[in-house]
Amino acid sequence: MNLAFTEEQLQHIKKYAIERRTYEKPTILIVEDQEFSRKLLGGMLDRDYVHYCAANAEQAVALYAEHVPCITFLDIELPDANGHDLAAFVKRHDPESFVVMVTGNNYEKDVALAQENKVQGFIAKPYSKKKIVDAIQKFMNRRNATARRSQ
Amino acid sequence: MTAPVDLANLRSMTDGDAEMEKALFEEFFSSFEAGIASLQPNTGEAAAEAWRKQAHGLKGMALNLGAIQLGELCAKGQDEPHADANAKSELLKNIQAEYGRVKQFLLKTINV
Repeated sequence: MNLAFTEEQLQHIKKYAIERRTYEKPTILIVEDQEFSRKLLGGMLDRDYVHYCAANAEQAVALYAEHVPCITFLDIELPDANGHDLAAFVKRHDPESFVVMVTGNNYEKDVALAQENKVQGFIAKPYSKKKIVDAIQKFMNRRNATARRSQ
Repeated sequence: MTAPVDLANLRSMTDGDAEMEKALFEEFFSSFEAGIASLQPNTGEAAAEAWRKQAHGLKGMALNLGAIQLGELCAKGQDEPHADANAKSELLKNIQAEYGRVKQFLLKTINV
């Protein structure tokens, strides 16, 4: 899949990347091709967070451009793209994005690629509430630190 | 014999919501059975990649459910995509058998 945002989408992302700093709770994008795993993570987040779900990279790009999420949980093996490529693409166009890679493979090469792309987290399946809550807390800590620095 | 599924992780996610768990188990049955049906023990480069991807997807589902042994069998499939057809057929049988244990366990859990 050719990963690309339109010029209009890029302007929208730029605008909302600033606005989302004021959200009380982070908005979240789940990118996961397995419906069971998507429902498991989405079901947990349902109680406290606005979230969006994509089953592949194409849907992820469209939802990202529309909602400019604060946090993206991104599976590595997607049917139409590699999650690392998608992470690099998102970080290139939205440098403040907070991306957490999620995978069933805890391979060294995946960890190395995640570090290379400067993503903010790496979660090995199985999901657990603690892993997800810790990732969200890490985002909140980063946002609060950024806010304090800019005061 | 140990239980085929450890639901502790999943229940940390559902907060023990029985309706949500039932819906998740039904989704698991549907997705996993479709995945097993697509797991074809053929040989050749394209078949090996299809097998690896399918096994990877099944592994992720099994691990997220808490079916560790089932996840390990699927991981073996993912790690050995170039195994011969006999070895793949044997592994597929083992995955089907373990999935049967997992399904029975989950059906009992939700009293079906």
